[in-house]
Amino acid sequence: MVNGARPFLRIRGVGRRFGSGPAEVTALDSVDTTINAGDFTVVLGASGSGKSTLLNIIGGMDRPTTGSVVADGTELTELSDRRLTDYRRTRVGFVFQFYNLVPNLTAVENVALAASLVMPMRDAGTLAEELLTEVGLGHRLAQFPRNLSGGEMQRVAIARALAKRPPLLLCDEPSGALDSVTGQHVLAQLQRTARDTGTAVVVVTHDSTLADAADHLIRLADGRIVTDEHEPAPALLVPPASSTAAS
Amino acid sequence: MTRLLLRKLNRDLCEHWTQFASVALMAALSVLIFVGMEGGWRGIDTQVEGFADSHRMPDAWVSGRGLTDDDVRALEEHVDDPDQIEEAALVDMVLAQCDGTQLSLSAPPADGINIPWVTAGTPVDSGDGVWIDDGYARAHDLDPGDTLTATVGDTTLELTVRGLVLLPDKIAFTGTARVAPDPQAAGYGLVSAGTLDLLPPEAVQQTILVRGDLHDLADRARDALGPAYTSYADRDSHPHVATAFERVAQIRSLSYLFSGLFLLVALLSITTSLRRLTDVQRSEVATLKALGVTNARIGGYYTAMSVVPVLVGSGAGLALTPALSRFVLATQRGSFSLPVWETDYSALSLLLPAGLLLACVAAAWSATRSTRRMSPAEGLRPDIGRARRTPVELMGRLWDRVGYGARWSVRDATTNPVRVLLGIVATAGCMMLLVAGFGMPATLDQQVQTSYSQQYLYDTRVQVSPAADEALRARLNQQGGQWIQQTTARIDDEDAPELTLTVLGTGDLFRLLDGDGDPLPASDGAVVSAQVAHARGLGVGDDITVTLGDGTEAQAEITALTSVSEPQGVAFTAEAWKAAGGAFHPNAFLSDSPTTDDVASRPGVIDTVSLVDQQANAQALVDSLGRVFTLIKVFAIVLSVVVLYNLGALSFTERIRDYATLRVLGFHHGELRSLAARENAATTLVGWLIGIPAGWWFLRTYVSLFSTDRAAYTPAMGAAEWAWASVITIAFAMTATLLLTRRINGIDMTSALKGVE
Repeated sequence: MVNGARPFLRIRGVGRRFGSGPAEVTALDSVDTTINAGDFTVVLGASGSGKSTLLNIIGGMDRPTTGSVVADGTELTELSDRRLTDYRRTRVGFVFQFYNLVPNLTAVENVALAASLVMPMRDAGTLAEELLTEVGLGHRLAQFPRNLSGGEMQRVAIARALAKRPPLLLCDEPSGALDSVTGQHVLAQLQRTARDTGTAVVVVTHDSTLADAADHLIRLADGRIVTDEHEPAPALLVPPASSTAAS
Repeated sequence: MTRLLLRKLNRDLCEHWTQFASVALMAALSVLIFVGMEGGWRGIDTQVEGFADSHRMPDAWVSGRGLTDDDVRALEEHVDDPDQIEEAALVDMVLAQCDGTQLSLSAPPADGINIPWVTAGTPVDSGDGVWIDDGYARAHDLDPGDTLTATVGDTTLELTVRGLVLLPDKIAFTGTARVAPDPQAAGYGLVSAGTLDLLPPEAVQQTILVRGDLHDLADRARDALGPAYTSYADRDSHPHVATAFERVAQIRSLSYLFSGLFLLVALLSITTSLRRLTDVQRSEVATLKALGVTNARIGGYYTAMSVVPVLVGSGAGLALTPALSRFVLATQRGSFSLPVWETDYSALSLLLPAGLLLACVAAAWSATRSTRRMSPAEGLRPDIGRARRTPVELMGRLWDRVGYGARWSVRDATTNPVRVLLGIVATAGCMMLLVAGFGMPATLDQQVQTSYSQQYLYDTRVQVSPAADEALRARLNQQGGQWIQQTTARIDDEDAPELTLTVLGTGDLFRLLDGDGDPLPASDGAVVSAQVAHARGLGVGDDITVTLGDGTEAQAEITALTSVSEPQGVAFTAEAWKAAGGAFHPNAFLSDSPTTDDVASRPGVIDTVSLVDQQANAQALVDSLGRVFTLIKVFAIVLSVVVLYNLGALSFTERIRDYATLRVLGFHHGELRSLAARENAATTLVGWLIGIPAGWWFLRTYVSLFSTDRAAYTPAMGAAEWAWASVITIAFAMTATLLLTRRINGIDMTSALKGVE
């Protein structure tokens, strides 16, 4: 832990097994780490290393087989399904590799849908417009996802994730489906979010070039943490000067 | 390759087993209801026709008085073409009393016409004894060798039962004053001419049975027999035969109408299910294409995936049809006297499953066509999903008030109009079937209630022979009641079927009712049945000519229309009838109190039957159809549940990614269930609302098909029937919704969000 940083998540001895008997697979094994508020945390690992499983567990989408996950003082493993849903509703924002936008809601409605879970509908609409303008999509508010480019969809997904003003933002391969220029834009935006808003941003990726930009770098292999490092002066991600996909 | 694809086919079927099971179930039910009901009505039809052909049922019955064999010859000579009449024979008949029941005794006709089918005992000969109606014998526990006592007037005969028979022209024998066969109360028997000679000659009724071409026969018979002629009937109007043919036609109409609607809804649902099941496999099609599998093989694979459940369902449906057909036969056994009760199927029974299969093959083939045409790269690209704005969005202020979850539901419905339409069609179809299922028994019940509590107010109906003496009439007059005359007659058109002429003597025990069931006031003109008037384009104020069997005519103006179910024809008061030029010859006495035994056994009394017995007999007829309508209701419920569940399940499969996304965002199970239920609730509501007028139309259509020249029915649905149909439709639609929304609890967010599919 970096001195002075406020820990948001404490993960202790977390293990996750799937299946049973000869078909049992250990996805995570004795994972210990702490995620700080305002950190841009990058979880690096090859396919099958357990990084998405870790993301699901800290996001309250899955439960560990063993261990403890304490989010902002709350033990997640002891929460009922309803309380865990409340946790996701109020404390966590998600960004997925394939965006997972609701296809028949417009960009602004997708963002407002998430915001409306924590505030009145009218305020949610206003906030959604502001957030989309912030991510450079003020002119695409009324477009359905199928009319947006991949980069635009991912920026809508980021706006949606931020709409609840969550203290924790989880991103699963957020640039995985994007071209490199657009991907850079998206990642830069996520890093800026962590710095500007104090949100704990966790990005799961297999792209090792992100390592230098991380405040906190976790390397996973075969379900175990190989390295867990805090970088006091990470590189600042700078979006390329021009990009057709992201514009 | 083929083996691997077969393995994949097996796993695909297992993975989507609920949808495939629904498709199979719908195919099974479609085949079952159509073929099963066909097996029943066609079985009866074939046996009726077969019995009529093999035992030479007459084509016409010419009745008269004092007929001799010379009259038969005169009739044969009077027709245009010598070959027109194949066979004609004079038959004498006497109505006898036997232990409080009515026994119609007649001499066996000459060989070659109306040949009796002997079910037990000795073949019919000219010896002593009696061959009695098989059903009557069973109802009264009579066997060959037993004796029975038949009384006609003052004459009593002890007759030994020599055998049990079925007569072709009595396949739906009802006696003289009932609407349905009742072997407890009435039967028939064959006795020798010598035995008949022992009975009072005034009790003998005569009929010439005719087989052949009926062209002009009625007119020729009138001309040939002159004053001896009284009436003419063919298979469409003879009461003991027409009922059977009418019933077959009624069940056939019911079968076609109900299974047609059922089939339409099921076929829509099956083809939509298959289309959407293959639609969701877009990336798999692209993967197979990328691997080099040919378009034809891919199309073949997905077609096979559709064929399997339809084939399995159709096979299961066909396997169950004999049971349903036998059930339909069993419901009708009390209505007919047939030597053989067997099911029968036409080629249509095999063509239907084949057609169903063909439709599904076409649906499956066309469902993958667009995907097969796509390049593998296109197919493998993530499908963002379709979206469409709704017309509601034009109402800006209203739309702004709609929550985002609800917007998602509304747009999803707009994007998939076929699914919504099908949900509406399934609910409306269910409601239509249930309205008809509840409405038909209610219609028939109301007809029985109206007839026997508002139209007829007598206690006992005494059927009197035209030859009855004045002493009998005087005796009945002492009792108190109303005389009526009922006979066949033609109105205006000589080629139209004969109708019933009713002439009412003084009294109020036989009422003519208006459309509201209120009695019509006495009229100085003709009162015509509404159905007859409608069919012939007649109305109040029109003049009609009523022609009796003996050729006498009466002319009158129509002063009112009556909505009674039976009799269908024209009615007059005795005064109005006389004023029109007719003569009042009453042949039935409606007594306002029970008749005594001495009246029933007097010569000239053909039959006595109480109103209570008549009502019970009519109710038994209604009840015999009740089980068929129960069957329709059950099928309606199954249809709605299966279709709605299947549609819901498909929607769930399509939306699972959206549901998972919403769960991740923090939507609770209850909120998602509410979102999911809204569409089903909306389609149920719309379907139910459409189902109300559509159901009423469907009921009216069926009732009109059920009506015959002899009986008209008016559709009736009480508040209770509407309530039941509505509650069942909505309850089962909601059950399907409930079953589906429970699946939301089981959504695995992590796996649902992993890939695009």
